[in-house]
Amino acid sequence: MAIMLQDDNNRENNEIRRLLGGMPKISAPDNFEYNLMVKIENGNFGLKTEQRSFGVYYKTLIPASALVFTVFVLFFIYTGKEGTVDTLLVVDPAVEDDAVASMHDSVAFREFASTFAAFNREEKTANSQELSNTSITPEGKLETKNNALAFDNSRSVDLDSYIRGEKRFGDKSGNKASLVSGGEGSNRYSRFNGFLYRQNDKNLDMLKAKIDSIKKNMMNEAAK
Amino acid sequence: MSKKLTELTDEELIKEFQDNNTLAAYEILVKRYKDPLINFVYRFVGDKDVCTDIVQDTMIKFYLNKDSYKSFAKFSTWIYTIAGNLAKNELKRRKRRVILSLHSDDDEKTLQIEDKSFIMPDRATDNTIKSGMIQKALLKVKEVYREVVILRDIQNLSYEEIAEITGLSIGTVKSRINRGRTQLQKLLTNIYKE
Repeated sequence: MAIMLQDDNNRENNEIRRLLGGMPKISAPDNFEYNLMVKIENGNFGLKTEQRSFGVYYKTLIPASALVFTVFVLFFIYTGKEGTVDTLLVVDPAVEDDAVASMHDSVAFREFASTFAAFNREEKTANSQELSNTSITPEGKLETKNNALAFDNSRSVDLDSYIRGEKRFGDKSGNKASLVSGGEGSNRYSRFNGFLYRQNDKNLDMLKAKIDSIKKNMMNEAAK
Repeated sequence: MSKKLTELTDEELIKEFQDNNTLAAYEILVKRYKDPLINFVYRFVGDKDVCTDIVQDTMIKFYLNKDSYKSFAKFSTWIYTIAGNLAKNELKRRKRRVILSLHSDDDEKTLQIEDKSFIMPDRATDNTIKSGMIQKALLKVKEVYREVVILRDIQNLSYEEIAEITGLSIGTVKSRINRGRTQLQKLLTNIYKE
């Protein structure tokens, strides 16, 4: 029985083999080699079957990748802390402090600081002397005056006589733009020559100190 | 070289191509294998245009990766392996396309199987009609069985060669061939009993 089944099976298999073997042979198209060699000569090695695979999936790949990208961006927008975005221009304050502290510790910096302080002192002394005689004109220019009076001589008045009405000055040009009102309800104007800088007390102190030292010297000499 | 290139064996030709980059050797190999590969891939995939593309890609891969061929293997098994892998990839892609597609691809599939350039009903003889039916039945056989059946019964390769191409043991090859034939037998009952 078993032998008969095997025979049947072999017979059927042979039949299948005969049918399959009798199928017509398919041959390549005539231009097969030509197309192949053209591809090779042009260096066109893009495999058609692989290109097709991209064609099948690009419709799903593009939306999927866009979705993933959107989720990624939203994740960072909503979960990230404000102001924690790292940029090259922003320096962490702690790091900056450390850097400044280490710079202050350096010998070179200390030397620079002392030199700078000395220079500043000299500059300030020079400036204060200059500023004591300096005023700003209405045009915004600095004006240095040699006279000790705050106001122009020609326009200065003795206050007591001015109050008594003995000496007045009038603006002949009629230009009131540079005049300031002389009091409540007054229609008089005084010429505005600019703001005055307060004289630096240092000069005064220096003069006083000089006078004191001269006095001391004189007293010492007298005592001798 | 004393021998003419056309007189060289496949292995000698690929060695010549590997060592001296002789394009003529490559062309001879292409000439020798284009038809068997087209036949194998067509029977496996069932679409002539696609099978031509697959064999072209096989030859390009052969050209680009000639150095990956090792002389201890037969050239025929190496080139069949490349073609078989590309054909399997194509079938996988088709399956995915069917799954992903929202509409039915039945019309398209029918067109792909019934390649009218091969079977022209007006002039078809009994054999060509039978061949068309066998081809249809063959495409319904499971892929793993179909491949070995084609290699054995259509391409007439030995069990050893098939084992080398598929990377299976000879025993597995034989059992798969048997199962494939049995499946085909069921599908072709009406034909082979005539």
